[in-house]
Amino acid sequence: MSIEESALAAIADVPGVQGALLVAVEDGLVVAEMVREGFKSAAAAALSASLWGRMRRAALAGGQRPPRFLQLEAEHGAVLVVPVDEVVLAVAVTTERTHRGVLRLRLLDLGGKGAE
Amino acid sequence: MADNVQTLTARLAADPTSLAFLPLGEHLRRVGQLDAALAVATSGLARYPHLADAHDLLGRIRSDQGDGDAAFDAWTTALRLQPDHAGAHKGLAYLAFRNEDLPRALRHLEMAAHLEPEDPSLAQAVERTRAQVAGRSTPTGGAPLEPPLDDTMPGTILVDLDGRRLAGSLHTPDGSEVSDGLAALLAGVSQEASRVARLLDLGSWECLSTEGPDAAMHLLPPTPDTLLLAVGEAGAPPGRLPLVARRAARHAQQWLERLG
Repeated sequence: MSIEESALAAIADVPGVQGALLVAVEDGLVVAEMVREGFKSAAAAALSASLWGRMRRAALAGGQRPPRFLQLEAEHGAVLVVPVDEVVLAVAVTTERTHRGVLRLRLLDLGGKGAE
Repeated sequence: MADNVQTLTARLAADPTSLAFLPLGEHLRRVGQLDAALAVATSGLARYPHLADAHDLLGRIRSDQGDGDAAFDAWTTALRLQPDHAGAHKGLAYLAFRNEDLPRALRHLEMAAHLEPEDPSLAQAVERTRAQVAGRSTPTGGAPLEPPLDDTMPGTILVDLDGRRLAGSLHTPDGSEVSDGLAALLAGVSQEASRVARLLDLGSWECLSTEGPDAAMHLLPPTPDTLLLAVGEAGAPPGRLPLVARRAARHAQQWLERLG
């Protein structure tokens, strides 16, 4: 199993996760993925990267450095994003039953590895 | 009524999808068993989250428990689901009376009386309240227009969907004002959040939070036409800022409701 695959597996293993992705920050394309059947990988990647970009700009406008974690909560699930490094994001898309605390920690752990 | 309670409880047990939770919860509320009433109501709401009657029941229970904020949330939710819900208008009128906001109480009472013309007590209440409002009116009368965010909720702003600030302010640690620049970007963030949730089949978006080395942010829509952003300290427990933001959102909802 490659480094990317083992990193994604740690996220995808959390119950309720529909898809775990590595996404290029600049163009929102999928770099690597571990997803359930029928999951919209391309859309999730593009949309997550776009949302990340907007919140990053908002943080900068607020006089802050860029965020290291983003979570969108919706009626039937959530999208969680961390920057692995300057060019790649890790993204998890979940259903409403997911344990958010565990997922947050695993993503933040993955985010930290990009800076090592 | 004890027989009825047994009948309703048995009906609920046999068919958890039954609407019997509504009369059962109301009976428990009337006899003062508020914890039991709340359990029945919340269980029913879990099955029928879009039923205005269920939110109305929750509002009455929360009001009896002395939790005006939660009652307000329940009744405004009921009205969002069913704008002509007389019970929710009556509940909000009661809360407005309690807050001595007579113009708002009158608006809700007039709606309730319009919806339930057969209830003479409502018509009488409207007349009494009209007289009180007329007695109190001043050249600048009406709802108080000072937003609550500045004094009680530092680090929060309320903006409209065009990115214009309605209330609150945000400053960087060195004191620079960043409220309007940030507000202008939030409308786009909201549209993007809505698009992400919809296209990934996640329903409507509820909140968006970030954690960074300098600060944490939590964005949510208190009403369909507004956004509230709360900014907190970096490194604070991650569950704290959402609580602060939800509290600020309730203040904002009440303020917007008073503005009409």
